[in-house]
Amino acid sequence: MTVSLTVAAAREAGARRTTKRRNLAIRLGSVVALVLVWEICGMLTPRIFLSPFHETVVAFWRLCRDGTLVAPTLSSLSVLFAGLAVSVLLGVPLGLLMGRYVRLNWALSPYVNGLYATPTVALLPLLSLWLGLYIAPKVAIVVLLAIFPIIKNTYAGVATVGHELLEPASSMQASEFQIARYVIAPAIVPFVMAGIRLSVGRGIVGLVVGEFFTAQTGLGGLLIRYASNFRTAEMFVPIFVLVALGYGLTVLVAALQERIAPWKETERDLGQ
Amino acid sequence: MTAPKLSVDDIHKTFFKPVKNDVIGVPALNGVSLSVKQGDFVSVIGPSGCGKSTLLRIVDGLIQPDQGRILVDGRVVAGPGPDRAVVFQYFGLYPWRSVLRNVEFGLELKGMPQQQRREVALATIAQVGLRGFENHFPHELSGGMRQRVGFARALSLDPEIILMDEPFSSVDEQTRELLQEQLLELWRETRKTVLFVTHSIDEAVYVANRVVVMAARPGRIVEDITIDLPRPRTSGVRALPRFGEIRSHAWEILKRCIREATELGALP
Amino acid sequence: MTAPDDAALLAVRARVRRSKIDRFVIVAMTLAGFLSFWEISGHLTNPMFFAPVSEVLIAFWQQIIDPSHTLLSGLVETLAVLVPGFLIASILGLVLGVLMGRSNLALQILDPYVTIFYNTPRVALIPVLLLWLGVGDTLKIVIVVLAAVFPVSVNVTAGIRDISAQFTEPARSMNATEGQLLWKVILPATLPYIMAGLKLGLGRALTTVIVAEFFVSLSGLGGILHAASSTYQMAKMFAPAIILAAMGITIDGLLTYLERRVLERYRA
Repeated sequence: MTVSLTVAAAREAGARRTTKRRNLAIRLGSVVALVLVWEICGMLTPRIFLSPFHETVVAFWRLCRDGTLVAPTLSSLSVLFAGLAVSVLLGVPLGLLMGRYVRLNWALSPYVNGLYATPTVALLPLLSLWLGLYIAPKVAIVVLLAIFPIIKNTYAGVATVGHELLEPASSMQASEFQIARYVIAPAIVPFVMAGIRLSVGRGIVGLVVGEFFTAQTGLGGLLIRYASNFRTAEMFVPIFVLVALGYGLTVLVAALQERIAPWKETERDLGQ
Repeated sequence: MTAPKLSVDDIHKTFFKPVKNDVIGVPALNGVSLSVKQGDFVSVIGPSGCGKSTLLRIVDGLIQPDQGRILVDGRVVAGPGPDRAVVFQYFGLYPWRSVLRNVEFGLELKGMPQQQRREVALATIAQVGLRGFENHFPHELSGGMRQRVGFARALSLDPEIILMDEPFSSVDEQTRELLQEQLLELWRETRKTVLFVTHSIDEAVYVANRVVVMAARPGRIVEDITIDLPRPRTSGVRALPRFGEIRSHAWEILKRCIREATELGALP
Repeated sequence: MTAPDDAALLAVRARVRRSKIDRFVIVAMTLAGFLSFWEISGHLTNPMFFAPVSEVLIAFWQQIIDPSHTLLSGLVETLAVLVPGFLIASILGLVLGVLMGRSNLALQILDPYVTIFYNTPRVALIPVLLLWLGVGDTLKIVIVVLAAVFPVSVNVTAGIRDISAQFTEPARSMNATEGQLLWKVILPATLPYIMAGLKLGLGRALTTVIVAEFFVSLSGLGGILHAASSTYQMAKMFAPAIILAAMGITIDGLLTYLERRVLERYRA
């Protein structure tokens, strides 16, 4: 009886492995199909519309080697990190205070929710008028886009610290400060991380828009320069870097969250 | 004559629920009084909504009553204190703290120095049979183990009264029986006064030397049964005819209360 | 029992009413404070950089009653792109999401693209699309679709995968066909997810359409904004911004309200 069970289990594990491999093969096949389509279309259309795929690969390699990619990437990264840092430094305390003081929440939440629902990119022309054309408006627009998921998620974290976490502490006569330090602060970590994960994507949008319309630095600037010069092979390179950046950062934050807060906490994914 | 260890004196409590655009009052406890001697093990049973968990929280000071007082050793207590500790149904452990640090938490809040805390915590962890699991985290433990951590935490505080709010209802049947026996053993060792809320009549009769039966709507005590079963309580006790008698007696009372509540149209 | 109860109930009712008034007062006062700050700082700063709220409102009014109706036509232009684009995106996203949710083959083939596109800052695609489609409404509709499709499809797929057997098993055991299953069980069950996806998608679509309009001066509200900024007409810039903000807030509010209504019926 036990022998046939182990055989069955092994067979099932094997079947699972084949499905996994099958899935991987399909995915790979799908991507390869696109690459082929890209290559063929690129050959058939004039260069000003689309270059074949291999030329983009070559261009990517070239831009890496001769360092043209380095400066814009660093510039974009620094603006992004500066914006995210400001968003966290301002957003987390604000979310905490709003969660703690109901009146503050009453006062500020119309504006927080309102701005969160507003397409804040509309404020970019205004910002560039006030803050110039270099770093400041870019960081500002990143902050404007990234800070609201952080505020909302931090607030949600504080608001949902359940009585199951508070009662034991109250029962052991914890002071207000002790509750804040020992119960609330650790409990909201998963929420704050979720907020940061959401704000990365939004921040990148702000970054790119800023780089399009103020001084054209960074990856966005590179992109727009290539596009306006019909360099259809090169123009996909900054796009790929941006995608990799966004995806990479999101995965990183998710991994960090898993590492710091491995327990299953209920978290709400607010916003995009 | 010495004052009873715990005295619940005519407690009234109404909760207010927002309903549509208004607020309605839900009476939870109506004139509940109870007296517990030092070293007593008292069970409280009753249907849902009879206020037994509310009563426990009022005794611990987590909720303030509308009327009435709680006295410990003859002194009125108005909030949580070092003389009482709670073991919660939901365990109440902090997921980001290891077992050791969870057990130490209460002592940490009191400002006990690190070395001393550690000693006390390690001792109680061993007492509940979790030696070797000090550095594990709650999510790595089973329900029964987590509850033992909760109990270790309560013991570490060295309270005079231990309040238990349906401590074994989140745990499976077999673990439950083991935990009940462990609990009784620890009670024998430490001689604390225990107030034990449960919805299982079997459990209530098995562990306690007094069973207090509550009814719902409004929450009040309807009967106070002395359990004259022999100690120490082993699993054989459940087979004794006397056990069955007491049990049916309690069940009859409860049934009557539930029926009355249904007739009043106020059943959960 | 009744007399003290009534008094307590009245007291609680009064407290709830007072806190509602408090809230109203606080909101009103913050608004008043904000507006005063805006007005005063507007007068103190260089008129090239900032305008007080009174001037903004006047300019706003002037632009509304302006016979050439630039603001209104701008709004119409933006909506003319946003609405059809979003409708297409919703339907496409729904179909895509259902396909990927129900068929593993479709999931494996399409998932790489969905993931890539979902993680691309869609504004980065605007220069590329400009190259291919030139300036015009097609460009804007395409970009709106690209922006909104993936949030919708990802959420729908997640919803379908999440729908536990609890929903499909009963229907299957009653011999439901694939079509009936899809229409009567799966889609209603995933409605909350669909709503969440729509909200996300619409927000993204709005942001993207504005940026697209930045590229094409004077078309749509975004275009007006951009044109006004290059001529440093401060007060004129606020009007389209305010309208866009209002649009964003209204749409979000509407969808949230719908979402809540839908969710009400789904409380399991």
